[in-house]
Amino acid sequence: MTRLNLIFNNFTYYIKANILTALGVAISTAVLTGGLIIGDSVTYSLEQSVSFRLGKITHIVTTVDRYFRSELAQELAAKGAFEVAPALILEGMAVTEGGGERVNKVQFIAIDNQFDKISKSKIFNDLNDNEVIISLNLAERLHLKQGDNFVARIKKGSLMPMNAPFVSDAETSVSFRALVKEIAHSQNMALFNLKNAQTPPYNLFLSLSRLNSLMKFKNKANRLLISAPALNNKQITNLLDSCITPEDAGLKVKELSELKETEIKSERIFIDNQIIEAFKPFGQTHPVLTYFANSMEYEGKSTPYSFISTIDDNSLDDKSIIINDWVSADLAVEVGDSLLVKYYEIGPLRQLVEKGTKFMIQKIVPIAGRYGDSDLMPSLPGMSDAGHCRDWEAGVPIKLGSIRPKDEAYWNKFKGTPKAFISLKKARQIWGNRFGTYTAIRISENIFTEKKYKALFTSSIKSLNLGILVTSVRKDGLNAARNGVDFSQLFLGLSFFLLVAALILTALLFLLNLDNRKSELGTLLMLGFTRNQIRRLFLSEGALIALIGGLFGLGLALIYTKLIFLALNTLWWSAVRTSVLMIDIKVTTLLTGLITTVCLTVMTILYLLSRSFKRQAMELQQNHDHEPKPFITWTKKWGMVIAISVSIGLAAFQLTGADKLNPSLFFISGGLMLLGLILLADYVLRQNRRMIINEISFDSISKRNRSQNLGRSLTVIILFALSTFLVLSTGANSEGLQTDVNEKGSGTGGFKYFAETSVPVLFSLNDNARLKNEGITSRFTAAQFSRIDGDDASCLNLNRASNPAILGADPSFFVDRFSFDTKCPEIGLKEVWKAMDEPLNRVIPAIADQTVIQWGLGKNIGDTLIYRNELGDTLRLKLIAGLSPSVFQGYVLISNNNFLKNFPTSSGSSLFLIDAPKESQKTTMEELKSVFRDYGWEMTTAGERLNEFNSVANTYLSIFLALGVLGLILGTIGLAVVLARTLLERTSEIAILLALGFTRRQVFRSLVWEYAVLLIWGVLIGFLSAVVAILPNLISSGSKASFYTVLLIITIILCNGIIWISLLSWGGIRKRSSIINQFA
Amino acid sequence: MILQLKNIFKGYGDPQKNNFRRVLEDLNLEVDTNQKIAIAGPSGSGKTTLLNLIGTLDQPDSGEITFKGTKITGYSQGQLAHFRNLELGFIFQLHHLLPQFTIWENVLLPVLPIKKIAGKAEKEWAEHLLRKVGIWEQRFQKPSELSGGECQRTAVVRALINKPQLILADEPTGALDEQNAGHLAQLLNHISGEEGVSLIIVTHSSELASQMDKVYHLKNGELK
Repeated sequence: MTRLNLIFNNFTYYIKANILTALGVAISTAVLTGGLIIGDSVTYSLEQSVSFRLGKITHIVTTVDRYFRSELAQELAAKGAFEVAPALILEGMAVTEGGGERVNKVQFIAIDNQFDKISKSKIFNDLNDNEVIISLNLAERLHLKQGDNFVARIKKGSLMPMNAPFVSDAETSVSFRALVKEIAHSQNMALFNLKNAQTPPYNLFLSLSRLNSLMKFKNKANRLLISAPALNNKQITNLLDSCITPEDAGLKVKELSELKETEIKSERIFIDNQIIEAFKPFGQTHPVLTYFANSMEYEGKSTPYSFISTIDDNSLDDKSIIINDWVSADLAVEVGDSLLVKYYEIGPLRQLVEKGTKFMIQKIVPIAGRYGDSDLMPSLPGMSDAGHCRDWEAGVPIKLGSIRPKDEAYWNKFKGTPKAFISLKKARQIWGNRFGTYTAIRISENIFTEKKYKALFTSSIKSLNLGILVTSVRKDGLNAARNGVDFSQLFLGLSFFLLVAALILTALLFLLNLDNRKSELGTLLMLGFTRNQIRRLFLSEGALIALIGGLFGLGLALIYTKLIFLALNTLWWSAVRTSVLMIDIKVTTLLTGLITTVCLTVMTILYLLSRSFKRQAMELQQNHDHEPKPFITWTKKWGMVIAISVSIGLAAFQLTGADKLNPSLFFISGGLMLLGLILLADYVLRQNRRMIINEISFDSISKRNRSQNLGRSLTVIILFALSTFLVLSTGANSEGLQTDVNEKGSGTGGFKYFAETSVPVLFSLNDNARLKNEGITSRFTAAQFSRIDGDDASCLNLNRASNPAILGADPSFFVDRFSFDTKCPEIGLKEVWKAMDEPLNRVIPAIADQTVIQWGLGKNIGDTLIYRNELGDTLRLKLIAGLSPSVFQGYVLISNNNFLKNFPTSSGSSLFLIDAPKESQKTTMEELKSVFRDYGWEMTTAGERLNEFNSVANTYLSIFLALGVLGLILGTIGLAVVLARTLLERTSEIAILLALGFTRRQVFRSLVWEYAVLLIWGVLIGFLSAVVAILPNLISSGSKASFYTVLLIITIILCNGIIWISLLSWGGIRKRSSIINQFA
Repeated sequence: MILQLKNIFKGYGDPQKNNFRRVLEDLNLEVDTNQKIAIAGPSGSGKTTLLNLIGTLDQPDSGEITFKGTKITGYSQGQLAHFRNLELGFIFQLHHLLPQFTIWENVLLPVLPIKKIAGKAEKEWAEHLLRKVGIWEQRFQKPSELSGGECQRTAVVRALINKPQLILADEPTGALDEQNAGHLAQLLNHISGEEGVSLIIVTHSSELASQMDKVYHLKNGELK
């Protein structure tokens, strides 16, 4: 006989009880390890999704609204000896033939044969004409199969900024009939996405040449997809800088033999100052700015629509103008006359303001030589190639009635030859704009050489200057995946109650086992075992149980994980928004789960053993009413007073003194209330134990019974208080999230609709005249946003976002709308929107949802986000305030002014908030949907948009609720164990009562009441604490925090408890029917 | 006559099988008002079984028990509980006081099956009895704080609280030392006489038995 034998024999003899305890341990292990495996698996899945969406791509070269030569890919590949594929990526929509099904926000990826090298797939080779490969999700949405046709509509790419002056906005999209060549699955780039998000976009692959021809481009691309694992951003940028040519900046050279000059123009119409600076070393460079004037007027006479240019003439001051003899004749003006030049100044969203400047005629010149140079007119598609003035598509309103036959004749003969000339300085002053300051550079023919031109460009202009950025997309993606939402923590947090309930259950089962073996303890003592030896014996047995339970629990953990993943891929899809979740089991995780649970169990057992030994010692000393040490009593008493007082104080302060109810503070208040009330219950039970009862009644004996075994009574109270608190607070929060969407202070800002387009809208939706032209008659107000794409920082993205998409907003639209959770202390609550336009030292004020700041970005108020602006400069956004959950989730907002300063050529708006009077809401929605159909207009109510985000939070709450309910079930089993054990111990008491003449029904009622009161206490404590915690939801007007839901949850908890109590009590009494055994 | 047992048969186990054991066989007993009887006999002779049958904690296989002329063997469980509560008082070898209650609560406990709360009369009666057995001062203490003798005296008070006609005592002095056993025997005798209660004591103690009006010996299932 060895000690090991003893342990083993004990274990096998009490096998049933041990299996039950081991089951408790197994549940704890399953919950703990399951949580860890889920975390590992989500991270692993996100890492895998990086491979799925990027193939072999490690870096990308991107631009915003700019295009470079597709040959750049080959040149870069040749220099760097790595794989590079050019791509032209634009957004659009796909519509089934007949228009039955429509999918907006489709990513059109135009590629050539080099793509197969980085995609690990051969299906992309040799895409012809209208052949496309679509991703499986798009095929499923449109019910398309191989060989089917559908209509693809794409945002019209433009080499010039679409909002630039005189650029036609007539054609914003192009369409073609696509033929499905292949349907791509996840293995062959169906999930292709350059953004850090696990939600797959709808992808459509087509040939680069086809998209170029559709866009009327020649060999252009806007992305380079690079596979160069060994290189970093800087190395690739250096190589890229050496490959970039003036053509990549959209520059074109033309020899003007008549003038003996070389002209440099830009496809983007306007030329940045830095380009001018780059060519200054040529010596004699002459920048030119040519603008389109609405009219030149003199004493009631007017020459409509003329180009006016600049000229290098030192005698020409800022107030003077040179006109050609055609204008002189037309207006009958002479040198010295005052001429009024009218022109449009173009603001954001093509808002036109007609301005006028008076000039004195200094010279009248013939249309010849430098004054007869039609090349001075910028190359404006829609104008340059127009046969008649009436055919002009100028991007500004043209009053066709004012165009006279002689104007047509001038156009026929001289095209866009400027009719007047002013000084460059004056032209820059009145016509310079955010798109650039010049329309051409003229360089003397004898000093211009192609070689020098390219050399000067390469030495001065870097890729960054052109807004061409290299990003290590794979590294960033993996970082984002690894630093994203920590599902381990999340699930351990969500299942914390379940874990605690499982541990309590284990403890109760072990204690029950121990109590049944009290006599064994005595026997061992009698046989000469020391207390320590007995403790070690039981502890070893407990460790064996814990180990067996833990190992079994690992198996359960796998089932638990599979079930959770099944739910995450289906029921709880909103929480992860991907169907590529894969289970990743790491040995270290299994060991961590096993060791942690076994240690926790062994520590619990150790505690129970020492408690049990102490109690036995006290029983021997006939000291049943052992009181805790005075310090502990004092601490508990004051803990109770402080917890309840602070809880009430916090809630009262929030209700009366705070500007805004803070749900977190209320939750803390609720938690404190829970603690305080549990301590109060402990206090009352102790008082009941000591009370002197004169008036004996059923109630008084129940009180006495409840306080007899304080630990067990408190266990019941705590289990039910906790479960009620958690289930109620989560349940009620879930309902409450959908409240108040019409309030201006809510997350919708009081806006009725939220709309997005795939193709930007270039004009203002508040321009009633323009709307009327488009066929929109209903009246509404629209807040429009310029957008720069970035990471999705909303809760829909599990990856860590670093550069969320930026929205340019007009702050004046939002005064008194939305609410803020946090803000920089120096800003008043009502001044936050205004502060967006206030200058800060080298940073730009920015606003985002507090949840985005905290969880999506891992930042705080006052922190700075770093971006690159369009000019390649570092852009620092300082987070000055955090919005309460709003429709802006996922974005960072800056003011329109700051947006345009940094992204001057960004065109139009693709995001809208719309407010319409109630009576015209339906018409507004229908008209907008119809008119902007080809823009990929997607419109929902702002409330629905908010709820989409809330659905994530609601899903988390559902998970919490589901795991809480599981915990509640375990808690109920715990209650059953406590009851069964107590009834077993009270067998003789029941027999005595029956012998004294109590009927079975009386004893039953007494027992049920005794435990029901504990149950009611627990539920009441949980309820009161939950009420405090969810007070903001309960008191918010229009709250749907349903009284009935709360009532239903409480009723279920109570009924469940009462049923268990009744069944066990009745069973206990029935079992003791032969009460004589107790006295025999 | 307060109690009559006629032709009582009681056995344990299955009569069709070998494990059947007949404990009481055609047993007859009559107890008069205010009479004190002792039932003696060797271990396993069926003394406690007999007491359980009289106390309605168990039912005979056949035979009839009448109490004050009323047959109680056909009573329902509720009637039996009511009968036990009002007409019988139990004293066990171990005091079987409920540890969570004070002495005062323990003695008043039997009032509750018939009343929602112990009234003034019951409390005065409890005080009278507690003073009589000498534990009035300890009434707010719990059983764990009292000696074995004091607990057994409390059990006597509890048995008398509803002024029963018959007290059934199963080895009441069995767990007490000689001195306490003597005191308890005196107390039972005294109270029985003073309160006019009949007393049936099952005991091994010849000293206690000798203080009773009549002593029966239970042997082979019969009283002699």
